[in-house]
Amino acid sequence: MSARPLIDVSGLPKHRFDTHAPIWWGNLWLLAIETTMFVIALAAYLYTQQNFQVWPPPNTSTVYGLDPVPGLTPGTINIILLVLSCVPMILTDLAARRGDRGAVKLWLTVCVALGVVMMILRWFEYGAVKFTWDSNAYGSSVWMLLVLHTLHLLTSWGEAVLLSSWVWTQPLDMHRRVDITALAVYWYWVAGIWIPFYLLLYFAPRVI
Amino acid sequence: MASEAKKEFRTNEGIFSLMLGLLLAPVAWGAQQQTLYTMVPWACQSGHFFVMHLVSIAAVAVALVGSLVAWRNWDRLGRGEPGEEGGAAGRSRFLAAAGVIASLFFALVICAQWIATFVLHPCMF
Amino acid sequence: MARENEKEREEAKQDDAVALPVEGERLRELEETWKSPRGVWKFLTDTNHKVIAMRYVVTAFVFFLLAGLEAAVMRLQLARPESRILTPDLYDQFFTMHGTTMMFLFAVPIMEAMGLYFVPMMIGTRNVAFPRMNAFGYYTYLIGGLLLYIGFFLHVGPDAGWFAYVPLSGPQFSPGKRIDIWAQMITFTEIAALVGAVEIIVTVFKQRAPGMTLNRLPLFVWAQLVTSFMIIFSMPAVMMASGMLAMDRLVDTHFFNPAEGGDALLYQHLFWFFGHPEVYIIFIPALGFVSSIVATFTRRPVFGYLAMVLSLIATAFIGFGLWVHHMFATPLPQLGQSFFTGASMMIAIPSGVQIFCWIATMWRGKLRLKTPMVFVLGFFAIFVLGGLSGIILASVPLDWQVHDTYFVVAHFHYVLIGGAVFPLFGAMHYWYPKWTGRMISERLGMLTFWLLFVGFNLVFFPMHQLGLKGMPRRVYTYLPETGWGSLNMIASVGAALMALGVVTFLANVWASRRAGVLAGANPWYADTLEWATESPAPDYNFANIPTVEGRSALWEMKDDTPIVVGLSTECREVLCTHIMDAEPDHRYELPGPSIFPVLTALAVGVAFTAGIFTPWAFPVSAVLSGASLYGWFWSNRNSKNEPVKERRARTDKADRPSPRPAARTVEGEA
Repeated sequence: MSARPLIDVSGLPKHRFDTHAPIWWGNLWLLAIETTMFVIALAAYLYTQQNFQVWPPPNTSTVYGLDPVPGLTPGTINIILLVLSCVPMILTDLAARRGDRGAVKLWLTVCVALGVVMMILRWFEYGAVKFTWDSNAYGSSVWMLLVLHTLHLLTSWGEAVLLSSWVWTQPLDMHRRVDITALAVYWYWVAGIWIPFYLLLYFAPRVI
Repeated sequence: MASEAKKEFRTNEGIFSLMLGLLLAPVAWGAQQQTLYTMVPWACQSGHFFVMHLVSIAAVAVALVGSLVAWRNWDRLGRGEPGEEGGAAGRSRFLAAAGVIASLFFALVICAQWIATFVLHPCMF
Repeated sequence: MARENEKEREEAKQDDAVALPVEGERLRELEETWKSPRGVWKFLTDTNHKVIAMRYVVTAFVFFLLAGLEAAVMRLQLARPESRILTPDLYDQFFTMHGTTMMFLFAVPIMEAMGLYFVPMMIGTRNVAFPRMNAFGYYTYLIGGLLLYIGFFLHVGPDAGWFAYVPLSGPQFSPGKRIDIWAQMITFTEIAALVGAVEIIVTVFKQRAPGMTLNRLPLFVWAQLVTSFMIIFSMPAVMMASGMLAMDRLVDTHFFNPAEGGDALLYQHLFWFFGHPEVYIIFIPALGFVSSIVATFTRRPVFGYLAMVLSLIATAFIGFGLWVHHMFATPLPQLGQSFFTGASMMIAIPSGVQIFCWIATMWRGKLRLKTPMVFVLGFFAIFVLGGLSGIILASVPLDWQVHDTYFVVAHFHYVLIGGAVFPLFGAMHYWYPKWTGRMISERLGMLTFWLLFVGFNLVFFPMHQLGLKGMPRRVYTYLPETGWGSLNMIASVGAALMALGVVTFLANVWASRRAGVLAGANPWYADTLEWATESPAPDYNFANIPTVEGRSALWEMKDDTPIVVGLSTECREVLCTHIMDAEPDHRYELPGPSIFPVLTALAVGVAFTAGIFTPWAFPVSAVLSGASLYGWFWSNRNSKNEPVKERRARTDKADRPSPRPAARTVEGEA
């Protein structure tokens, strides 16, 4: 070996949080992909709206009821819960940064439980929609947005289940602490992205 | 001053300003194109063609603001050639200079799209 | 808590022995750590980026051969009027399969694969940021490709064109499963493309060798980075479009059904919002190949680095504002279309700037006319012609005249074969020594080039004329009275020459693999880091991570250019650096081989293959995927020695004297 100067990195830490961590960036670009998908779904919703003389198109289904707009109650409770669920997630996030295993266990479990409640509520949200995806293009768009968001709810919940199964049985290592902070970003996104779409689905057809 | 600027461009605000200088103009271009495109049926119905010109003027203005931000950054970095110098100074200068040129280019693209509103009527199919 | 920190700091200090370069015993340890599995198990579990990328290259090339054969059969059919080789139905399947395969299974994957192979090497790291995801991406791509071809061989090949426009592809006009197979294949391959894009972006952001600031990134890497961003923002559109099409067909939604308020043009918008960027997703990586090859064979850095990078970025942006120019013949307002004419004309500027920068580079340097360089020269000629006919097509009135004729076929083959396939062949000749350790034969290489070049122009130049004479696209035959026979015959003869060129290339690859001259690390005297390591590169890429002192890393490497030491040789550790300045930030352990990526891909595969027949496939697949992701998650843990390192990491955080880690510089032993 020649007399090359050496840059010794052995003293560097093994994991760092936030923009330092590759997983944070991986998660961010995943969210960019998902956001694009939501925007495309929005574009489809607005595009088909032009084709209707009456908006929202009148409901012709006699089986489910005649309301052409999705029912408000379950959806509204659910989005409030969704936004509130960010509080235990923030506490999980902070606890992970501190390395406080007890607090992570507690708050992550709360998040998982809330996730179950939200998915049950989502089921009632589906029930409150009195038209089906095959009634017209409006119905197709509404159902697509609802299902798309449910899939993301399911994904973030699944991720939370995996990580809580880890913290309940294993020591809280740096690897998982970084993972938990990335999960938190995903969780906030799932809540945040739904706010404009909730307004769109539930209020746009009522107001316009 | 140059060394101070170097430090500045390592902070989040500094990096944000470099990115703003690089990306503001392309975003303005995209916004102009989409807005104009969606506006055409409305402009035909309402007859307010001048709004389309306002959109283009606003887009050019935003693009120029982008180039101004980039120019200011480049100026603070000592207006050096954007070469292959390492460290924060090198890459900041590179990004700032890139921002100046990119912004001006996108201002040109915005103008190219603007031309159409002078020539064609929105109601033409 | 504070006392604990104190203790950790003590331990860390004791552990602070000076790290040494990797050689001798430590090198053997590094080899052992990064060793890939063997045999079948290797195919199922390996996570080395070079192995995965090479699989992508080989698989994509096989699809290229299949799509080429389909093209050859079509040329055989069209060589004479009223030919009866293919039935109209079969002909529909052939041109659909040809286009679909070339775009989705060959061009995009192979371009990304070149990035997955060379980006980590060019930026001086050991593997991509998420190696298991990378493997997962390959398997989904493979399953998607197999699905399409199994369907084709069972006579359920898609037949509605590579873009599957509704209403033709809708439930009313395309009963059966042909279009469903197409739609699901799209979803599969797009998942793979998106995974690859995230890999490349994060790897470039976080794992560059120290010193490789943004203004020193090789142009190849810039091209791959820009392409990856385009993939992230364009591919979701086609996933949604094909998903909505599949739902229209499977569960009777009405997205594209005008009778129920749906819209056929919505499909075109969504498809081309992806489809036009896709052209650049194929073309921009090729620009990266060209820059690498031009620099090497002129022995000069490419002229106008800033202009080149800006052109790539500008192209990427404007690429998203062109899609309506595929829809000029639809009833959209004239004014609305004209904005897209404006943008389509303006995108010629960055492309032109790059061509002039390369010409300036060649002008100043001494040109070495080796095969890769000759392919690049061929690219210039063909691509410029394709660009010119592109400017013609960007104008609405001209587009109306030649829309859906062979003029358009000529144009996009000039752009895609000229702009992507010629640089790709150049790149394969150029990097062949890095892949195999042996040089590829120059004589056969030149023969390949001339066969392809002459053949290509014979096939596609007459098509301009055919288009102007009015020959429509996608017709299975034509009448003798049209007078299109002789030009078609010329085109078909050209196709035979091209086929011969591809055969020559395959023979060359095979023969040189056995008898080629040994290459050594850097046979071309090139400037980027992939040539700093042996050919073929070892599993860990670099024994010691290099550092970079300029844009042309190898040409500017001096005797006292530092190397990085202190990465663990006991686990698969890579160096993470800062996004902007590439200063050492932290060390990061990558996961090793695993069976779970392939299991997860299979679980997802259930959804998309069985989903063609019943929506119940989706919950079943969700459960299966959940189970395999569970295994994936639990098997991804750091190696045994973690606790020691862990303490250190925390020490560093507790100390917090400066946010930036102090990278010690020590004089190595002679």
